Amino acid sequence: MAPVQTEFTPAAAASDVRTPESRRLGRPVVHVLWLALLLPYLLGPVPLFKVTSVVLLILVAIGYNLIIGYAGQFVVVSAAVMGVGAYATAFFMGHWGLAVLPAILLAACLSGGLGALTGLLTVRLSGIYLALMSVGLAEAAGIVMERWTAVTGGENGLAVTGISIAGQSPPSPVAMYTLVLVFTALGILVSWLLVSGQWGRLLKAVAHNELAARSAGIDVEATKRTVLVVGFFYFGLAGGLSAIVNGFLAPDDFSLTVAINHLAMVVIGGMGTFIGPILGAIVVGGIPQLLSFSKGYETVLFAAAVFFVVIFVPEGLAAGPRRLWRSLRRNIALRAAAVRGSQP
Amino acid sequence: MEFFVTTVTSGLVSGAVLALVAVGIVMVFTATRAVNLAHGEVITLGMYASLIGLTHLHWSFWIVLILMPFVGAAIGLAMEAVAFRPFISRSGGNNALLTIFITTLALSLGLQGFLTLVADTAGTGVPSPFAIKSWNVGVLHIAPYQVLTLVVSACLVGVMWLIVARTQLGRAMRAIAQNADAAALLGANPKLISSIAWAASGALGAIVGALLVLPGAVLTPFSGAPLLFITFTGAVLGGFGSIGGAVVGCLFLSIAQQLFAGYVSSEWAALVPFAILIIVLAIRPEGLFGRNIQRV
Repeated sequence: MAPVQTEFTPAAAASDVRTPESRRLGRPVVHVLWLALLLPYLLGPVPLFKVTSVVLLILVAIGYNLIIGYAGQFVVVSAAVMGVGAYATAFFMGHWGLAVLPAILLAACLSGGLGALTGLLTVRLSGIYLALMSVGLAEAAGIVMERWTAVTGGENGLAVTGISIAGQSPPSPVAMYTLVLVFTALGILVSWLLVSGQWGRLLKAVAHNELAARSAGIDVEATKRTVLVVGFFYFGLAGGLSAIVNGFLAPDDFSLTVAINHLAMVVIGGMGTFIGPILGAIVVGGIPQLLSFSKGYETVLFAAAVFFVVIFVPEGLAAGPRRLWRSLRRNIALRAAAVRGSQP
Repeated sequence: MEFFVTTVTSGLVSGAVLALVAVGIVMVFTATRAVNLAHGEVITLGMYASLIGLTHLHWSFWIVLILMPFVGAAIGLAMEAVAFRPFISRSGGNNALLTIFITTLALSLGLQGFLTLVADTAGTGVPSPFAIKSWNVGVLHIAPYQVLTLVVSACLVGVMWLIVARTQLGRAMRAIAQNADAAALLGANPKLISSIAWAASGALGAIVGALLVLPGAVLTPFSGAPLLFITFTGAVLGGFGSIGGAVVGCLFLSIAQQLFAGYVSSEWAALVPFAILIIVLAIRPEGLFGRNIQRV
């Protein structure tokens, strides 16, 4: 995490105007996305499926980054809202006979609406109360997913029926990859537009110092509610896409543990930056896919990685290799000095 | 009537266990303003330690119960050293809170992952060290393990409350929570007090682990974690920060849940604590018994 300024000063706002990393990095990201279109020609179906599920995580990480990284609202509900999006998509397709695209979009809108409702409950809360409220909401959603068997299939899971993309049913891995990539690219573009403009500064002002933001005429409550709607839309979209990609849903895929994994993507990538969540999703989501460890090793490594980042490179991967290296050396030196100092 | 009494009794017993968990969390929160999200794993580790003592070393339950606070204190101190101490000096305020959330969450996940490597994820059964046959007094049917759980919980909660409310140590703890620098100037040692709180919290967590294997249980690496969130709800009801409030909150919650399961729907009873949490926080963000303090 970048060190949060405790006081909101005009200088802090101005520095965001002068060197927004989103401006610098917009173009390289677009080029990477073009290159990503070539992947289906290079990879077989199984690796392509793995890549698809990693690309999907970028949407989740962006949503988290807007809510936690920019607006400072510690709301740990990504997995639960993804679940809502996924089950809603399956429901719209299975019961209403909607096609893939309208089902996903409707499910994402439903999730966004849920964000508005959540906002009503959470805008007055802060600190641990906000975090606990969000945990309560996530757990409640998890229990509903487990017990509302008529819609979710309960613990036995639910097979998504009627998946068809461009006439292919079931769709090929290439078609699913393309679908996810297009949505993710649009998601990145929209987040780029959002955070590089005035709205990004608004969010940071609210996160840095609510009182100062309020006295500067910012409607703090409205800002918090809006960011929840936008973030939940991203989660719902990711959930809907995951329903299509996996074709099978189980409540375990949307548990609090999964939400914590998502949080780690943003922490490792770099909170409150444009590129951080994208890098974090690729690294945190991709490495386990590459190495295919057993679940236990994966979790232990994961926790170790989070600790390493928070202790030694709190800026996250978004800081870039040069600043990361400097930060690592400085923090190791600091730690070493602290250890020497405490043991005379 | 008989059903009602049995339901309330089992609610009271599980509430007493939750209250012990809550007191552990509130102790750390009072002394350090940190919430230990890995406290569920203290309980899980306590359960596995009890399992080893009971089934591998063939100790009596009493020895296990007496050893458990020491095991737990060690776990608590280790957690403090890993997930709390390295992160407090550098950042302050809300940022520190977020950092501790993330580090204790990561610790919780890491410990769960570690346990899945060394233990059986399908579950390890522990037979009850006590005869299950219950005592009957009129309409009241109560098992020996339930009585023991209630007695141990009541004693420990009482001792902890006395320490925080009535001793110099407790006074120092509350002073540090309000203003660590000022308290240090007046002679309190924030580092020592914080360590004592983490050790006490760990000891309580491990005792909870031992109490949970009393009726016989199937342990998995994820046994402790769900308890934590229900406990949070109880602590929030009590205003998060007062031991008495947390205990009352947990008892209320647990009895309400059992009554709901008994009279309305056992399928949806798991939802009750979270529904109460959401409603309470939406209406009174400072909890039912908490005082409304605005910090600017």
